Amino acid sequence: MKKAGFILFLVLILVITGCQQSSKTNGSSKKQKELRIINYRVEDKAYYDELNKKFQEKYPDIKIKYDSVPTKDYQVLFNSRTAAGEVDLVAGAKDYIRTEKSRDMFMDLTGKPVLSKYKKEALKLEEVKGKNYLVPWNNVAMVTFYNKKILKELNIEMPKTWDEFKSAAQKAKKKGYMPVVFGGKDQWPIAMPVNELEATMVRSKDSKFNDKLRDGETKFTDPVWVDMLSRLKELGSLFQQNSAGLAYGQAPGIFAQGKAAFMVDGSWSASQITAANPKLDYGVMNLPGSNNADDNKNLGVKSGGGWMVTKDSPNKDAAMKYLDFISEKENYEKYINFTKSIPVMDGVKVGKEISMVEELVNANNVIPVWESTFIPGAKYDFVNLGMKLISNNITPEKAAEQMQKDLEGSKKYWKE
Amino acid sequence: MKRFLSKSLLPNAVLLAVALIMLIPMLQIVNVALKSNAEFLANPISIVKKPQWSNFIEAWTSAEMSIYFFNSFIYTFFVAAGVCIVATLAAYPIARKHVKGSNFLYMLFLSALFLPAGLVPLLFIMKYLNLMNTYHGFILMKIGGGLSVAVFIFTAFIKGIPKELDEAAAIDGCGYLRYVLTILLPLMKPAIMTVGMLSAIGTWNDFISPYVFLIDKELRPLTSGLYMFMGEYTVNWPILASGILIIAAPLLIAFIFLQKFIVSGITAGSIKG
Amino acid sequence: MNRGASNIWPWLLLMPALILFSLFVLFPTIGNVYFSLTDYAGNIHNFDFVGLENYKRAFTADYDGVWNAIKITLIFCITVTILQNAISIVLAVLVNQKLKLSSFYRSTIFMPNILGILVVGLIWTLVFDPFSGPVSQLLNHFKINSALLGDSKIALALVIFVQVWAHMGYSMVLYLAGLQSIPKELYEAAYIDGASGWKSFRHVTLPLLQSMVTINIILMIIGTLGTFDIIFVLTNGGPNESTMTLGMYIFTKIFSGGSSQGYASALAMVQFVIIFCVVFIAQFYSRRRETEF
Repeated sequence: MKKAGFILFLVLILVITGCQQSSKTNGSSKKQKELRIINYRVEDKAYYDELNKKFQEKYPDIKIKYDSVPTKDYQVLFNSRTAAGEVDLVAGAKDYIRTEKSRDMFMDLTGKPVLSKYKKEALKLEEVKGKNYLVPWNNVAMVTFYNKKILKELNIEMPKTWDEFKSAAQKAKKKGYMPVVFGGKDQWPIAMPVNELEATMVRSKDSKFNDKLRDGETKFTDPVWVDMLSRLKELGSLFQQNSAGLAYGQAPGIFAQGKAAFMVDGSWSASQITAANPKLDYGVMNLPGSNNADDNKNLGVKSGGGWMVTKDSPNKDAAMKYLDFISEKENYEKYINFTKSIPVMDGVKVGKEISMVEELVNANNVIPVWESTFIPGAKYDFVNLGMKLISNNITPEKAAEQMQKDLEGSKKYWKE
Repeated sequence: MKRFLSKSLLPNAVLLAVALIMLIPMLQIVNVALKSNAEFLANPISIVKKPQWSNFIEAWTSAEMSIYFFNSFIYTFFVAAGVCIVATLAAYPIARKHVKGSNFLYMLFLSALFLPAGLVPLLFIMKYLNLMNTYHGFILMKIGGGLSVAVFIFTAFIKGIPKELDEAAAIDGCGYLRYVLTILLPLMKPAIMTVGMLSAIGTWNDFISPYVFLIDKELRPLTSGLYMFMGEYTVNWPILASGILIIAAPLLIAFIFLQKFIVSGITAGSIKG
Repeated sequence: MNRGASNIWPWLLLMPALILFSLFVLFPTIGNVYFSLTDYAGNIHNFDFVGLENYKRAFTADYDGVWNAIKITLIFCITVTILQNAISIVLAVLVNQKLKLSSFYRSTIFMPNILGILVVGLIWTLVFDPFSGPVSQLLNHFKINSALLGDSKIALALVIFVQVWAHMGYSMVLYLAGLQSIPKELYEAAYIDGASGWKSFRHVTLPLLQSMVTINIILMIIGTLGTFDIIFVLTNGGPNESTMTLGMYIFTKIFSGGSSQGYASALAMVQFVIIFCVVFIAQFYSRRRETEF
């Protein structure tokens, strides 16, 4: 009998002492300022560990609590920390501030001195309703990798039109190479081919196509879009056999071994290719969706993400100091070379892989990636439809109809 | 019966086949753990050429496992023990219908197994009770979360224990609680060991809740370090695999010991009985 | 039966469980129900009550997707529950015998549960790799060519296989706990009556294991109807939505840019109701078959 009472007592004691203990710690921590940061770029942890150490040497009165979790779990961390008010600096992207209610959590950074260090175009990419909420990290581009050695062996130039691309891929296939390597098992990678074809085939014809979708002036069932979907299907026929079963993470490795002529991917994969085979001679290009070489100058670029400051953070000063600190050229240069991404600050010295991508970006007409032009709240089932298309389970016309139907059907959920 | 047991050729053959189906794919993880990242990217499936034992060291150091090991033990032990004790106490009155509405309570605990988790509300409760960012807060929360499955299993188990025992104890004038602790608890050993082990695994391998409820790094368990190998677009599988093997090792050893203990305990008991 | 009924002790024993359970499970869930009636999208300080709007959306605009997910979830649930139960009960009986290697067998069969779902995903992604994986190479010998996890005809079957592979150890351990508590005398009595082997399994083991069968079936139903992690690591719902279970569908809704978490909460409530109905039916039927002493 005593034991049961004892256990109950124990539970109560635990709860009560808990209250006292944590209130104690809260009290003592107020002397030192805290800066609580959350990030989804877990692979950048080593860089931030070093940076945070340096920052704390400079500002010994600010204690940094830095956390990073993978994208899969980030939403959970993001929701819980912002709900509990336990975070000052939040890693995010344009997706996080699409709706008015979600923007409302963060500080408007428009015109803050720290932003003047970054390129205007980069700030433009992250702008929502003319305001900046993000201090940008970098850019990523939707690119196609090509194997220089294979092209040389086949005696062909880097393709500039769709027909050239197709014949190059077919020649590579005849020689026993994979024409285009694609890892479709995880479904989402179909976004890269769609984004790249859309840039060169839709917005090259009508740069306002996506905005006009809102009032029905343009439709997914318009010929430009149906053509684009037919091309996607054609591109799918150039993927290696059983591409739908290959994991996304394995494609760069296969490309790095020189087994494939092309790989439709994002600029971030350059570092994977180099890691797998530093000796591979490869280049990056725009996927030429159109047969008009001028159309193929459109290159989709999106922001790799950025820092946002929570609106009711008690440590805004510390957060701004931190943002200034990471925007110092020396620190930023280290960051760019650590993450191997495209810099959004002028005069940053970069390594081989980045300069290759940077050259491509500079030589082309940069436009926002299709996915970043979505109407917030609207339904875009393009991943599923795109995968169905390349596996011949739907016709381009039907897929376009479905896209349009979803868009219109979700109209009442559109948000600004 | 005896002959059925001693004819062990067929069982052995079946089990060996099953063990191979389990083991061969799992050896892949060891294979991956020993590769360099370049070798993994180039050829993930081939048998490792030059084993990179340093992967384990890198996983250990860069995931800062030495800080977290102690925490993991604390959480795992207290959560598993807490779940077993609290759930046993609760399961007995429910199984024997000693309280009004025990069927309702049973369904309540059962439905908690698939109630959608309300993370943000839970967060506010934790914050309001000052349980955020403390050892005991995290332990209490994990016990609460693990209770329902334990109550569910224990209730079924207690129903299988003859009621005559209860009555014998009542004649003896044995106290209610003393009966549960001294007579029932030993009888439930296999179930308790099993549930304890399952909740230990759940706590030990918990990835995300430490990040949500423990804001100070010093309080986090082992798994939290592993996250850093899972990038936005890429995963460093060799180091991650090494890290997972390091983390799984204590559990595996515990499992092997525990399940031996369950068996021997019971045979001894049944011989006596 | 009456003992303790008038007593305060049963309630005292229940108290710790009830307190912890209400605080950390029940109340948060009620909060979740509230969120399902709002357009909460991450900003706790700014969201509006929208009534049943989220539920309406699930059954109108997204009806096709939700219904397809429910169908796949049910197929997944029924197949896994039957297979996993049948296999793990046999395994439990086998490893319960006095075999020299039984400890080794138990550990290997249980091991995927220790390694966790992440590892299971990696292992089978590699084994089912259509480019250089062993299964694909084996099939090539027989001139069969398949994208395996990328083939919408067999992806669900493969996912079911991996699910059973990874979780049968869990059920086996539960069955084992049940077997351990069957008094040995009963087998001996049965043996004297001339029952051995299959007969003693059929007439002694199975009836006494019925409560464990109930537990396992219900745990499996709950686990499979809510499943998403194994799908996430293996196929991410594809190909052609052939493995898009309801759990996976909800998961994708939390992440797709515009849709609110309020909507995801509403879908989770729909999922809860489905599981509740299935579990209630299962509970009703299997309880009738349980032998109580």
